[in-house]
Amino acid sequence: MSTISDLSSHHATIRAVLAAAGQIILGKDAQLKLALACLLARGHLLIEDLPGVGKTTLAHVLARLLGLEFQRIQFTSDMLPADIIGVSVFERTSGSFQFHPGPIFSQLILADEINRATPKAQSALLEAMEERQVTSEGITRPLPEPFFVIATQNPAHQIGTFALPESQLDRFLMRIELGYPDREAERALLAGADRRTLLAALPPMLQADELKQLQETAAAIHVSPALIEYVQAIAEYTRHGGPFVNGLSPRATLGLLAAARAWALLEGRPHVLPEDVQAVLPGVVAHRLQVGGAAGQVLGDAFAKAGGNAIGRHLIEAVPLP
Amino acid sequence: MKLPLRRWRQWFSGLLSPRRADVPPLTLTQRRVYVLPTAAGLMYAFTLALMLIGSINYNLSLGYALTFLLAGLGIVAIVQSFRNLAGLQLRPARPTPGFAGAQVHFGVRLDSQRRRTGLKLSLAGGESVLCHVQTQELVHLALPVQHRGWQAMPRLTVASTWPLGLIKAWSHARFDERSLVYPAPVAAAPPWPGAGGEGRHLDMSEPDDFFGLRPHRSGDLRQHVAWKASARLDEHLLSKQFAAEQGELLWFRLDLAPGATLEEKLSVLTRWVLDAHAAQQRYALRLDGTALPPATGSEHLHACLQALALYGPPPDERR
Amino acid sequence: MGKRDLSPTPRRLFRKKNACLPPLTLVQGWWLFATALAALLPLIQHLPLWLSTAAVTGMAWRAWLSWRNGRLPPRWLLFLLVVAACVAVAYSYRGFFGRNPGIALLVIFLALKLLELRSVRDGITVVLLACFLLMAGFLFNQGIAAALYALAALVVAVAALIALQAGPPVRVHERLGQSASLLGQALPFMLVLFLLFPRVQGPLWGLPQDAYTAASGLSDTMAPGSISQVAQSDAIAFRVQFKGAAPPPHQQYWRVLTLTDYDGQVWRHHPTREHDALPYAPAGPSVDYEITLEPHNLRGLPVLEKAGLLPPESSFSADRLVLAATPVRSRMRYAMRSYPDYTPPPEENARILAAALSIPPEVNPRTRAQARQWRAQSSSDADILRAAAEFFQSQLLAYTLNPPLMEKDAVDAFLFEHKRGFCEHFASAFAFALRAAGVPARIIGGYQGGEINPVDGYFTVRQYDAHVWVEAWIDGWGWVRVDPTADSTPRRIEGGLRTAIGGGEAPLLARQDYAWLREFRYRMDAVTNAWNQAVLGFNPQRQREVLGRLGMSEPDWRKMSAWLAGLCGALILALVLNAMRERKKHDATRHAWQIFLRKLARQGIDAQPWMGPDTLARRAAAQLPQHAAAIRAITAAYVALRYGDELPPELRRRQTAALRDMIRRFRP
Repeated sequence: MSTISDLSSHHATIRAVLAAAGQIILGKDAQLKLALACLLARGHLLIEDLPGVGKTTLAHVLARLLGLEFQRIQFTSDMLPADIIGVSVFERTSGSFQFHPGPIFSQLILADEINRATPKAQSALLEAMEERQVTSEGITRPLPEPFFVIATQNPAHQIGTFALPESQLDRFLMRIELGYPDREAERALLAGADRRTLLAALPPMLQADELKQLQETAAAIHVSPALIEYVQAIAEYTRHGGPFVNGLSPRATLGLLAAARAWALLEGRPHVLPEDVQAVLPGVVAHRLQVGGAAGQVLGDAFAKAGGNAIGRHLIEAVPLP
Repeated sequence: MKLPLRRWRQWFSGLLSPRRADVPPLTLTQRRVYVLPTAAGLMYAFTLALMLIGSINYNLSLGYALTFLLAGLGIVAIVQSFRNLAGLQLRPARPTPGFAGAQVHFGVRLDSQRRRTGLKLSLAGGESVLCHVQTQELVHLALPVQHRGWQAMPRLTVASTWPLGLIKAWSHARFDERSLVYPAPVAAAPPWPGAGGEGRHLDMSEPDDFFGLRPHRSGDLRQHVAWKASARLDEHLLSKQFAAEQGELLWFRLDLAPGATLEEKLSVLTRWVLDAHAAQQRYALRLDGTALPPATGSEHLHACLQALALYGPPPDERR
Repeated sequence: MGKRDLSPTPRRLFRKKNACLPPLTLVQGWWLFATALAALLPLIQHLPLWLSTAAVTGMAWRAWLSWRNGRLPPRWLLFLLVVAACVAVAYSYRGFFGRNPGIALLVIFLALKLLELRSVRDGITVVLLACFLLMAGFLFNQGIAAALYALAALVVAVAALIALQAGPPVRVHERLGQSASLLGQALPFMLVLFLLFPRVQGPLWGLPQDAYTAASGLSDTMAPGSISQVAQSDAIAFRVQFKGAAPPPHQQYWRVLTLTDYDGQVWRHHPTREHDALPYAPAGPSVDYEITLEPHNLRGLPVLEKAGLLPPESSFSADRLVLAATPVRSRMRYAMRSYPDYTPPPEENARILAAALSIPPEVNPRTRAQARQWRAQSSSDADILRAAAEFFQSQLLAYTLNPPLMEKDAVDAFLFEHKRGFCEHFASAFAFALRAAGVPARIIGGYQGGEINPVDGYFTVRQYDAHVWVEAWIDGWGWVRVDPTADSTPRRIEGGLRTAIGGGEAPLLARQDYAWLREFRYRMDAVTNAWNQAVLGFNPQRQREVLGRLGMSEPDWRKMSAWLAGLCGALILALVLNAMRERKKHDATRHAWQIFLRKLARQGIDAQPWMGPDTLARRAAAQLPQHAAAIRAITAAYVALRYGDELPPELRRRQTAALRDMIRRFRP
């Protein structure tokens, strides 16, 4: 259990991290905050957007600031699971097989363009995400703690890509879009120094165990019965009331609550408010819900046109606070 | 609940002259809920009358009892049907715009303190939806629309024959809500204006990394054709797409659109806007007096569609 | 909470019948099947075999189709079946009119309707037909068990009606619960209507003869000697409630009918002129009592000698019977007064006396000879009577329920050969002998005796108490009752049937050795009687009595209607109030917050129902900057209570009070 003073010191740390990150990634405060919340909730993050909008930079910045060991895996269509997990190589000197860990043995993974890889390679990563351990040649090896995957994906309906199936999308706690920078941010970007230089100069602001503490604090944030009722009402709506094919899974509602707790921590609150749920809701649910049914036909088109946030927005406004 | 003659007159006059719009949230008070027997209810009453005559004729005391019990059940049915509606709260939810010739969806939010069963919601001239309300329910009702512009929400009827089907309780609501109707996009899209030429500007930025593949379009550089990939698909050629091409910019104008009438031109523009959005192109729209600067994203799309929907004189004066 | 789209009904000029009606689901089909089955079951035993078989076959067919998810039979086949069934009914009952053919037709329609279930409307028809048949069942049996059965069947029928509606699917017992709840709410209306609905005495039109099948120990013909076994039924003939003590057994003769015409074999009833004047002068105290008569399809009402008043719509016949206007075909209750002592009229109508003397020539020669002997030896009719009684006693006649057959000259055979018989033999022989001797005599049919039910104090007369005796006209005495059965075997009268005959011969309940069975039977009878008195016997007259006792002076249909309307109105009001009550958990914190929201709404800050408190507070503070501090404080207090850590109850109460206080002081 954390005390209030704990909480305020944590809050100060987090604000400092966010401020520092905001220096490099311009005009993306909301997305930065969501990404951090996702990490604090021990979830994995999927970023879906066009190339060049700063997905890689975001991952880099988070890794540097949080003092995490960072690895980038560029997914390609000829990638094999071994390229991710690692291989056992016969070493002549010792006369035995030696395991050479792959890039996945790292604290923060940037899985770039994950939908370019074959489903086989994708599932190797996704399994590791889920189990937080890797099994190769009969030996199970734990992944480092904390373990955090930021996967990026180009928008769907592109030729030559393998879209992630829904069941695998469910393993990502959040999906966010970065989008183009606004005018002002873009000007600052163009006028300012090279991001890479800035990145290199970034000092780590947390020790690894400090991050763990933060995660624990987030998990301990108080959730009142009234709030659980609200989350249930949202789930209930997606399952029966709304224009969706399938409702939210229990994994999704658990994730929603965890993300809301992390968000409350970012806001410096000792308890979760409906606003915290609403803040993370679009990120948590948009990739898990599919619009369908008779009423949803046209609604779905509208959602598709209005972008990923529309489903979240719709949910927020459709479900009254209990 | 019992309807004195005066209330009937009010009701009929209400049918003839459009009432003022209801202010949301609208609670179906007891004065707003009407009850009348259904065809089945009349059949039931007729059967009861026969049973009563039979009881009298044969001096059947238990026949009387059965008849009276069923008569009591009829009264209970009236009360329960009435109860199923009374106190229900309605408020319009955000309507979903649609395209002319298709449907718009008007949303209705139902809030209730108690469980309600078998509510049939219908829009005048539109769809009927059956729903059950636990505490809260959101219902979308489709309404076929023919013309672009604003479509006012028609009168909403909530009706129910629960629990016995003998009595129908109903109530009307008229909300001051409207939905946007976009012009109907033409089915077959004519090519975008001057592919590579007029109306299309390439960004100044240099070509970047290989980004992906897309169907070949006339005007693509030959060295960008992905021959190997195309060979695997036998339908059409694929072009390599480079990151910078994402910034390709399209200008849509009324005078660039083919078509004899304004409506046809608007339809073509609608199709272009939708296609450009789907292809994640940057595009801009200029109509007389309105210019939407180049952008992408759903907000931009909606702004463009709204401008197209509301451009100039509406094709039909109905609101 | 499922949702289903209803396709909008296209408006067509020519719409195919039922095209717009939703088809029935399998579950609905089963409910209707159960309803029809429940309605048919009690009727099966009263239908002719071919019809019950056909109905059961139809039901089984339907069940099989449902089970196998098969297609319903085509319409033309059903039409043929209906026609065939109607022809069969017409043939079997010789016409369509009357109660039984009507029920038969309804049963056929119900069974066939089940095979034609296509829409909700068909389903409603099935339920209504079932209700009608439930009522038809009461024509055969109105007992308590039948009533309870009908109630259970009704629960199923109403459940089927609910299942026909577009509701969320529920389990069977929940559906039955819904039905029972609705019927429970209807029950008070039933009671009020039952009590106050102005009753009309039926029938509204002439009923066909087949309406009455009630069995009685009495009939208006009697042929002693032609039967060798008396069917003794312990069914109840009528019940009596005496105001005061019951008269002694030798006065418990209940007259119902007279048998005057004798053709040598059969005694027949001969109707006489009717009037409503008392034919004698009472002398002495009266016996007052009230009789609840089971229908016996005769006009004669059982009364003790001598009837002193007329129930409504009845008259005296010339032979002193009390006759109802029509044969009694439903349970009837009437108050009666009798005078055991009376002054006899000085003379009797000559035609009646002549009829009471007529005997066919040539029959029973030995008895005639005996009678001529009495006449020769006696100076008066009274002496002849005495002589005849002495003769009967001297013949040592035995009482038995299994007499030998005596087909020719039955009286002679009884008196001189077999010397065994039951009351019909005794009475027939005695009356014949008197007539042969020139003394006017007639046979009276009715009941003798009865017993007090110790449970409810009602005096019960059963069919096995049916009895015949003789009345003789003696100048100066009037008509004198003579019971040759009693005179010859007195135990029959003083001790009842049980003692008159040996143990093995009497009906089970008439035996003395089954005491516990009799005890049980007494209790059952008391319950049944209470049911009959309070429910089944509730006719217009009884209704007026009850309402009068409840304090309504001179109840007539206007007063009843007014009371009915008033009480029903009150019931509806109570139902509405109960139904409209919102069952809501009271939460002080939320309640206070709602008040706060209302205050904000008055300032034009529209709180959407999805808005969290923080969002709302920020918005309100921006719009009402001068109250920003108060708004923030209130919100913080509310948030802490609703979303914050669990508080000890005492602290929670105090904080809630503080929140309420802040909100009360908040006046934007």
